[in-house]
Amino acid sequence: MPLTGPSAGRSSRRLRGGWTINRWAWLAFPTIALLVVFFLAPLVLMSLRSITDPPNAGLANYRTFFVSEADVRVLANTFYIAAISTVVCLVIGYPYAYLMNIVPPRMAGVLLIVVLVPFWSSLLVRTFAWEVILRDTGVINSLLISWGLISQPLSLIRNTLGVILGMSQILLPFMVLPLFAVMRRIDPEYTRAAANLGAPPAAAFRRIFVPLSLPGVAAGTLLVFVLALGFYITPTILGSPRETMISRFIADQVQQRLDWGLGSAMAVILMVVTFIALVLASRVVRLRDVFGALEDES
Amino acid sequence: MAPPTRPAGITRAATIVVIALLFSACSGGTSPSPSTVATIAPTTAPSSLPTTAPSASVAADVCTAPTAKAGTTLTFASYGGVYQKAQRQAWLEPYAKLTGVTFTESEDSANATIKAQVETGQVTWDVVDVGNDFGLDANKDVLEPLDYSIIHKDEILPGFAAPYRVADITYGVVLAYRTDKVGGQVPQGWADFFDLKKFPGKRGMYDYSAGGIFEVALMADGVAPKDLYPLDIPRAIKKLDTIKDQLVFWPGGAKSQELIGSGEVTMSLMWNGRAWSAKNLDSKPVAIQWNQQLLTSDYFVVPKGTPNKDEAMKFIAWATCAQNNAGPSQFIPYGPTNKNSKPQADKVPDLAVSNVNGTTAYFDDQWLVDNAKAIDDAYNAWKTK
Amino acid sequence: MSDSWRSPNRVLLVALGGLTVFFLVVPTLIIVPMGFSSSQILTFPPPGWSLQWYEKMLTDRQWTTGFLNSFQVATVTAIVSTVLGTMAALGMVRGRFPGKSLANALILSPLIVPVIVIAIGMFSLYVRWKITGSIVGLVAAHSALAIPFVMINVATGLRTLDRNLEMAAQNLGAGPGRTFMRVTFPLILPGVLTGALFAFLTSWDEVVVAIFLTTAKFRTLPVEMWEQVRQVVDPTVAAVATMVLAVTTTVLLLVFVVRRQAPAT
Repeated sequence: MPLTGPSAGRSSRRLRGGWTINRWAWLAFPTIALLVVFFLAPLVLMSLRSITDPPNAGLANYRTFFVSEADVRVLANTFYIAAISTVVCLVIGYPYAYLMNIVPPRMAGVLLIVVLVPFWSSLLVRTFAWEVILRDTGVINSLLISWGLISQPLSLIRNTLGVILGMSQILLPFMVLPLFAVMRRIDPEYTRAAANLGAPPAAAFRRIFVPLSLPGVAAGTLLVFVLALGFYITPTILGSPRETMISRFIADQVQQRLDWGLGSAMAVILMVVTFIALVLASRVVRLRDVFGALEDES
Repeated sequence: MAPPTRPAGITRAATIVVIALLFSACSGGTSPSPSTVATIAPTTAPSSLPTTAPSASVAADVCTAPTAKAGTTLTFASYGGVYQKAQRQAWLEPYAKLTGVTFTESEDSANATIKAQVETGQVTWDVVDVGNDFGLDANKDVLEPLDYSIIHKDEILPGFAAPYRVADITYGVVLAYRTDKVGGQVPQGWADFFDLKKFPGKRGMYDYSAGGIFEVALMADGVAPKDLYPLDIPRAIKKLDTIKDQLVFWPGGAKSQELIGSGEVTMSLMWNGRAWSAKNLDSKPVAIQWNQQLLTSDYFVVPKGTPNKDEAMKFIAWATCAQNNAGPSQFIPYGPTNKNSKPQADKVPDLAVSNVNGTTAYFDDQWLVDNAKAIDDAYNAWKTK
Repeated sequence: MSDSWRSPNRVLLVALGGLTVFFLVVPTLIIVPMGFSSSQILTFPPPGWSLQWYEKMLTDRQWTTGFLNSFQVATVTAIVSTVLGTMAALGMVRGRFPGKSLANALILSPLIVPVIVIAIGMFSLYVRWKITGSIVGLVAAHSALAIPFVMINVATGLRTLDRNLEMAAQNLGAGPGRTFMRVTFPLILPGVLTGALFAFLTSWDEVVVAIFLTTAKFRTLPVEMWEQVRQVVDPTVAAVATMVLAVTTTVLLLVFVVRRQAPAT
């Protein structure tokens, strides 16, 4: 007897227009309701506020943003820092994911835990730890000075370097997980076949494995970049005002300058940019892979 | 680790403390605690008031035997750290003992927060300690007019009591420096603050547009205190750009104390009480250069629409009374604003008002309030470059 | 799997891996000894050892209130998100209705929308509804953020469930409710529990939305820490951070235990 599930047939209803709805569907509605009321409505209203505050603003807030050199610089800065963090994550994450791929399963499990525990640990705690480590009077400088390697403290904080270090460490799991998920599915037969045909290991790696891992690279890169754009805590603590990223700018508009119109407009811009990046990526890789990686490993 | 068991013990302890406070308040606490009275010289203020002042009996009540409605909780917002601790020990705790009022505290006083609270109709702060750039008539939409029928306006130093704000302490925005990192020389003023060759090292700076950053830059560039206003911001920015890479911005007093205490900065613009604390409480090699200090004060304001308006006014009246106003000077060298208050003797040499000389500068509060947005815009545009 | 052929520069790879492990783990661990420092300010290495900061943390009303508030909010969020997230998973995996893919996107969207955007949007609206500075507002906000995690976890379990088991139960006469309670639910329980634990963690550590939705009267621990870290007053914040980490690690260990007990899916 074909298995169609206990819910099919008997409890489905045919609605107008050929849509069906079944009993299980109703379970989803309370959740949808909560999200619409407490999540979607705020976003929609805030977007509306960007064009209605001050009254009849229209696109004035957006114009104000793009006309202001300082504001545009913040946006450019955000992209810059996000891009560099992404590259750093890729450079560190790819070998690590590859290592996870080739070691025995138990070791891979350990390596996975090492990635997952920070993933779930408080971002604030981790950023604070970096602050303590990178300060002029922090761990690194204290050790280097006490060992006599340097006489003046290195400037590791309140600059782009400090921000990138902190952000990379926090974003690394988001690069490693999709990479690992894709790498895991690459059939080792391919590289074995290449070896049998006489290819040296390096060539097999470069010409077989790497191209096959590209969907993972795309997924990880995309995810990290998108998340990096929206970072607030880390750049605020580890950076100077020069490293102000757009989320900090939005928060300042709203909290300190009480300019809700401009703040909302910038929030909308950030949302749109994030959305575009994701849409672009969904052409390159199935987003299911990205979230699939998260759900498999979490 | 079992988090749920700890709260039980704390709740028990907290309950005991609360009951103790209630008992002490209810047992007719008619006199201030002995320690407060002993350190503040007794004055004859109440009986020598001019006739326009509150009647002698009312005055005596508020200053020595304040009362409050049962179950009142006042939220007090100030600038945290050793300053707020001094206010807590000198004012909040004694007042709570006398009246039974419970205080909740915020350590992140900010003008924008007051405005936001009033705008959204959710006013949670009752008494707010604000800087000299707030509380004038331009801000009256968000503030309650102070109740001068109970606050002794005539005893307050001239110019420090306005319809919507009354000064609570005097202090100085000063140049603090590490004595061990200045190569044996002593910075003489703001010009040295901007001289990276003579005094290499990072500089701490208050991350606030109206906190003195432009003023000190102008003074460093040779502008005399009396010519500071209207601020020539482009000129100040040009001067600031010469040390921009070495600036470490602090968002609050505690951080400034930490930055200079740890040696992360060689010199810092600081509030004199915090610099004093770095030296005397944290035992760090920090000293103050009093030349070109900006002498100013902080003010109490009451956000508009707070449900505890009357209680807030009573507290402000009590804290600015002659007997009580100098309370914080037991803990930090900030001066009283009541003419008849005597600050603690051993703090007098460290008060900003005791170190005034020909180079001392003053903020132009009116100009700062009226041009708040312009200053802020210029500051933000410069900061993120 | 892949150990039968030599990979390039294996030694270099292992070295890099080791460095990465160091990079991922050590920075966070640095704050643990700081919490036991005898110094008044944050210095490393600590000049001596002392429990004074833990004492301060346990007696300072701000920290204890913050802890209690956080714990309350996280627990209620976990309950709400788990119930709603599980229902959503069942609805999405087994349900059919018009607009299902849109609903799916909606439920997953909190993972994608930048958190600052969520924070100010919620602040703007919740303030009008007067639920800021209260447990209601925070639970609503955190639940919205946590539900996707619950749903993903439960949905995975649902999808790999052997439907034959349910079919068998029904063939033996069990109604849909009974089938669910006695067959389906026990099988998805590991996913549900894991989701619950992650929902707890999401709320426990959440800081950006909390900054906007809390007030002086009602603050969560991350927000207290945020204020302290900006000011960096004394090592109490390191003690608090260590405690926060301890709770997080405990919860993660519980997740691990739950997954271990899970029947092979």
